Amino acid sequence: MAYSKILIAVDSSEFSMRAAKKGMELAYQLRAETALLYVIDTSRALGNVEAGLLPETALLVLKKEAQETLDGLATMYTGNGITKLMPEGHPTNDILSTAETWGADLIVMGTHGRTGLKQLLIGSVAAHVMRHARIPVMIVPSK
Amino acid sequence: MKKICIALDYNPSAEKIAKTGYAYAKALGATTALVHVISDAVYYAMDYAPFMGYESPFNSTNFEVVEELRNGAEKFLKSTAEHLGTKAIATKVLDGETADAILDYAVENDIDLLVLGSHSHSALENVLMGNTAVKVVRHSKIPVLIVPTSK
Repeated sequence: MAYSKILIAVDSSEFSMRAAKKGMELAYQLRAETALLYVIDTSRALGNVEAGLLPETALLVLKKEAQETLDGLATMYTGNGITKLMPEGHPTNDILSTAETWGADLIVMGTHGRTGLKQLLIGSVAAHVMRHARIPVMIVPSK
Repeated sequence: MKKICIALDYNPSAEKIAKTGYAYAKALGATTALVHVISDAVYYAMDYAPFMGYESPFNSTNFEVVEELRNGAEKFLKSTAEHLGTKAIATKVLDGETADAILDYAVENDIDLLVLGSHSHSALENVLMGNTAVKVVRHSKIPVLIVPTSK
């Protein structure tokens, strides 16, 4: 079927919450197998040597942020189980590659993510994914 | 999601877009509307005074060409609906700039999901005016399902 595996890409921004809720609602209605994807953006794990923060520590902080976001969303899901995926990399590439390896039929994501400035009308990650995905992509407006 | 609007280009990729959108509509128990936008024809029927020695045979009181295009587009949508195996689908030919026409239709008809292709038929669209899908996503207040249509 064309919609038996739905991948919902999120991050910790308020912008992606609406997309996550919409995606879970859709997955529930379609009785689809569902995964929440949070790509841990390793380019953010820079640390701050002067402040005594090592890059490894910064990465741990990002992982914790990802885990908490996915756990919080998963408790809101009323369907049968939900997979949580947290690869490390860069959102632009790893949303597409995870969709392929997990075998998704549909990607759901917001127009904006954490790096998306509010004043930009569409985030660069969403623009890239909708242009290059080989499967349908549902883009949910963040407003 | 109770009302789904599927926007189609006159292009073979329309089959994939229509089938994908309709599969979701059926699974969600939503009503479906098929729309097609005639975006350029109206320009030939502008009421300009003759310029550079050219006088258009078409104007706003004589737009057979626009009518013919509209009839052709209407048939295209109707046969798409038949191909999907249902008559319970609304069809509508729209005029105007493609993205604007689709967005206006969605607002006026309380649509809650738009379905369209990732790349439209115009080879020049990215160069000249930006991708229609990107433009729709930018301004849409409802979710947009983008069906991949690149080669």
